Parts: sequence; C-alpha cells; structure tokens
Amino acid sequence: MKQLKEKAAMIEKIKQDETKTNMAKIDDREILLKYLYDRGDEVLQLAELQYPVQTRVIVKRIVDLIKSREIDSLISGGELLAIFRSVGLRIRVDTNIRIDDHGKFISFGEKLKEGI
Amino acid sequence: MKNLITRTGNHEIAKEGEFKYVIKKNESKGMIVPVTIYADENLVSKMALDRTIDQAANVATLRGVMKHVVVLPDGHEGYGFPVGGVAGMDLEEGVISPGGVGYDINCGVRLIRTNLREKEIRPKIRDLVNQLFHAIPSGVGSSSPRKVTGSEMDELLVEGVRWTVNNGYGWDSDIDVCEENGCMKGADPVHVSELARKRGSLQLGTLGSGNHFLEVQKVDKIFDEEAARAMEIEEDQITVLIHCGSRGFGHQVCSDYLKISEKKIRDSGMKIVDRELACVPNNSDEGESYRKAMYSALNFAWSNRQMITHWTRNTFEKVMGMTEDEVDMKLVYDVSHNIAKVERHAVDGEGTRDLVIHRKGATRAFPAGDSHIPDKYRKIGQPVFIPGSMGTASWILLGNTKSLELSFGSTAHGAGRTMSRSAARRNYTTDSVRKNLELKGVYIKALSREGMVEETPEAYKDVDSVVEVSHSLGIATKVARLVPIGVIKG
Repeated sequence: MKQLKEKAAMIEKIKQDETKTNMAKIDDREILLKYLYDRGDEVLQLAELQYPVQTRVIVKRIVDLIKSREIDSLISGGELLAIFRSVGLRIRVDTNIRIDDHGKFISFGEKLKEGI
Repeated sequence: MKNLITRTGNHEIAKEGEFKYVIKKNESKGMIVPVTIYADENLVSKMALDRTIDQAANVATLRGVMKHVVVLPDGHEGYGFPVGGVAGMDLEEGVISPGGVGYDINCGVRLIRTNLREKEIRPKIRDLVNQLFHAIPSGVGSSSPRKVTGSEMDELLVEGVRWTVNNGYGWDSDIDVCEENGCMKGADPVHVSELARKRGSLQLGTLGSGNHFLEVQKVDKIFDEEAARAMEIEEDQITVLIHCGSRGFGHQVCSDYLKISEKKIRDSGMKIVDRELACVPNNSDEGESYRKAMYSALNFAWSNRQMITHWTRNTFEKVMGMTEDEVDMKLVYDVSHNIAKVERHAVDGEGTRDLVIHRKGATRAFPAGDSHIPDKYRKIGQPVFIPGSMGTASWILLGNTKSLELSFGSTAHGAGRTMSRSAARRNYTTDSVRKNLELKGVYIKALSREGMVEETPEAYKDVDSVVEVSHSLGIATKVARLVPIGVIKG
C-alpha cells in the first residue's frame, strides 16, 4: 500500500514537471528516466551500451506511449528488461543470487559454504 | 662480430651493416631468395638462440617467394613462419600460408587520444582501470554481453568496422583511420566454418588473453612535433592503447585452413621443408577459400577493437564525469600485425608487381604520399604503434620511404618475447610482478595470475632497442614515446 502511494506521488510529480516545462523540448531518454524505478536506470544504461541503435528506437517508442498516456505507470528494471527481451534483445545484467535465510539475505556462495 | 651460425647449424648469418644481417641464398638448401634480418648485435644474437632464423630460411624455400624474406628486430620463433617476419609471394605462381598469417588473424593495435592530462587521471586510475576491467570482458573464452546473431555475423564479416559503427558502437570518423578502413574487401562468410562462427558470435568486444591488453598511458616524450600535431598528440596527454585480435573466430579459421593446406600438400605431393609451413597455391580453390575466410577474420578483428573502443569511451566518460566532447577520445589509427594481402612492390630488376605480402607480427609502415594512407596522414606517412610489454614504454612511429625498399613497407610490431611463458611462471610470482609495476606507478588488473606472470616485462626484449633499429634504418621513425599508468589483462 505504501509503495502504491509512493508510486502515485511520483507520477503526480512527473505530471507537474511536464506541465511546468510545457512546450520545452525534453530528450526522450530524460523523460523515460523519470518513469524508471527499481534498477530501471541500470537496465537502460546496459541496453544503451550493448544495443545502442536499437535502444534509441525502443526508448522513443516507449516515450511515445508515455506521451499518449498508454503507459501511465512507472516501469521497473524487470519490466524494461522484459520489453527488450520481447523484441529479441538479450541485455546482459549483472545479477546476484541472494537467499532469504531465517529473515536474513545471504549470498548464494555463503549458503553453499553453510551446506558444507 | 664473427658470423653467427643458426641454432641448427644449417645457416650462416653475415653482417652487412650496423643493423643488417643476411643469410645468402643457398640453392642446395632449397632457398629461392636470401633472408635479411634487421637488428642490432644483441637482438640478432638472441634470434640465433632459437628457431627464428632457421624458420625464416625455411620460408625462403616456399614456391613463388620474391626478393627476400625479412626478419624484423622483434623477430622470434612462431608456428612455421617466425613472428616478426615478412614475405612476399608472387600472385600467380606463389603460395598463401595460414601459418604465415598466424592463429590470431589481424591481431593488432589501435591508439586513442584524449583531452585528459596525467594529473586528472592519477587520482582516479584505480577506479578507471577497475571499471574498464568490468566493462570489457577479458580472459580465455570470455564472452561478450553482445551476442551476435547469424545474420548480423554475415553482415559484420563483410562490412567490418562499418557494421559496428552503423550499430552505434563508435563514430564515422573511426572508419577513416583504420588500415583498409576497417574493411577488407573480398571477405566471404561462406568460406567460414560453423564452428568459427559459433565461437565468434559470443566474443565480439572481448580482449582475450595472452599478450593482449588495454593500457592507459601518458605521452612521455615527443620526437616529431609535426607528426604529433597531425595525430593530436602532446606531452603529458593521456592515451589508450588496445591490443587484441580476432579471438576464437580467427583461431578457428586458421586451424580449419591448416588442416585443408596439410591435406592439399599430401595430395599434390608438394615438397615443403617444415610441416608447419603448410600452404596452398594462391590461385587454387583452397587458396581462394582461405583468403576469403581470412579476410572475414580481419573484419571481425577490426570490429572487435571497435566495440572495445566504444566501451572504453563510455567508461572514461562515466568515471571522469565528462561528456563525449569533453573527453574527445578520437581514434588516432588502427594497424594490423597478422595479415596477408595483395600489395604492389618493387622487386629487384623487375619494376613493381603484385605480391601476396604475409606480415606475421609485423606492421605496415607506408611512407607519406601513399594512396592507402588516410587523407589526414597522407602528407606525413602512416602512423605505426609498437606496444612494449606491460610496464614498459610503447611507441608511435611514422612509416618512412626506406620501408618500401628494405622491408616490403613493414616494420616491427612489439618487443618480442625472449623468455617462454613456462620460464616466466617458474621465475616470477604475481606479487613480485605487481610490486614491480606499482613501483613504476602502473596499476594493473588481471583476470588470472598466470596472465600477469607470463607477461612480466622481463620476459620481453627491450622495446626501445627494437624501435632504435627501425628508426636508424629509416623504416619507421620515432614520433612519441608512451608510458603506461594502468593496464587491464586477461
């Protein structure tokens, strides 16, 4: 519930910012960045490094959807990654596997050591 | 100095000048042309201790070899052909040899200049090197975050750097300053095996292992102001040198065609003095196939270095907190070390003719005015880069007129090993190498302990004396000396 409220507040803020800047030209990337959360910016950076040309096209398309209000919620890193994967771009992201061990997150390596 | 005898005792090396040694053509040993060695006394003595010069004499027996076989000052033994060797074969009557190009097809170097000075980089060098190490996959079998699909691979192998730039990994201006504009015309992926394609699809933009490295350097001293100005190089400036090749792709192409060449030799009954010199007639179907596959590997390697350049630029911008324009990391030039291609050269008493020039561990060094040099450098000559070992200096040279007369337009490519990898592992430890480098102000990040120890500076010849020979002969002359401050290695 708290997370939903935060998201709603962020969206409201973005809309206010958009009104303020009104006709001012904003870079598509900058617009998208405001809609990204939960490692979304990291996924975008990696996509730009690994598929620069394709990423520019996809960013423009997502921003078009944002502008036409077809996308009106924030986009997580996982969701952005899924968008890229859906068009065949397999962005490689550094991942850590962490395991919930009695309420404490530990690395996969530590868990294996425990087992030994 | 008395005449030297090669290790096998088969050949006598006569001194003909301060930096010139010759093995005379000896028909009884099958030699069609003489061997010319450009080196000082110390360097030639080291070559005589291993198979370097015997291998050069073997190359002088190959069908269609013209004028002479050249051994450059960094020469050392290789597979069949010596590394640091150049041979020109007649286009119609001669052969083409996978061993004469080597396993790492288009292993080469490129130099990138920046707008940065040492004082800006020093405080951030650890972070910069660590981030570069993270951004650029290195080590044996390392894989790229950018997998290349089958159809992309076909385009890349034909278009070379143009494909890479069109896909957003670099600037249009990069294309102008690559040997052959980063694209060898005549490449045909049809002649590349499925295994080579598979290995290559995962390795675009990776550094690899062995002596390959990426080095952050500063310009230590300028020797030729006019040339340095044309290259936008100044003292104390930060540069980046990238040394790598065609990875598993090129290795597989070479392996595939060595097998084909060995079979061709068995079937045709052609006589060669060393099995490692396996070759095929240049105008045979097999020769044609190898050339098209090898040209594909050349294009792969140029694209590989281009991709690494893109990630290097991005990392510098991120770590330095600067924009692309502020860092201004222009590519100075990109040269190949392992290549065979058709060039027109003068042959004694015959005027000029088309030859298949094999450069194995050698750099093209064309003089001013040559049409193969980009407009930017045509008035001064072709830039040449001679990387030292990690921790020692590297050099920028300029191709000079003597190169056409003396060495088929070629000069050295590096320091050249003087100690085997296993001997280096026996004699040095990771800690000793790291400490030694840190005392010189060089921060290194290497994937494996072996990678660092095997490449200890003591395992290599003195790059400064290699450059001195080239400069004194007028093959390629000194422009600037560069010293490392950070290195990443596989």
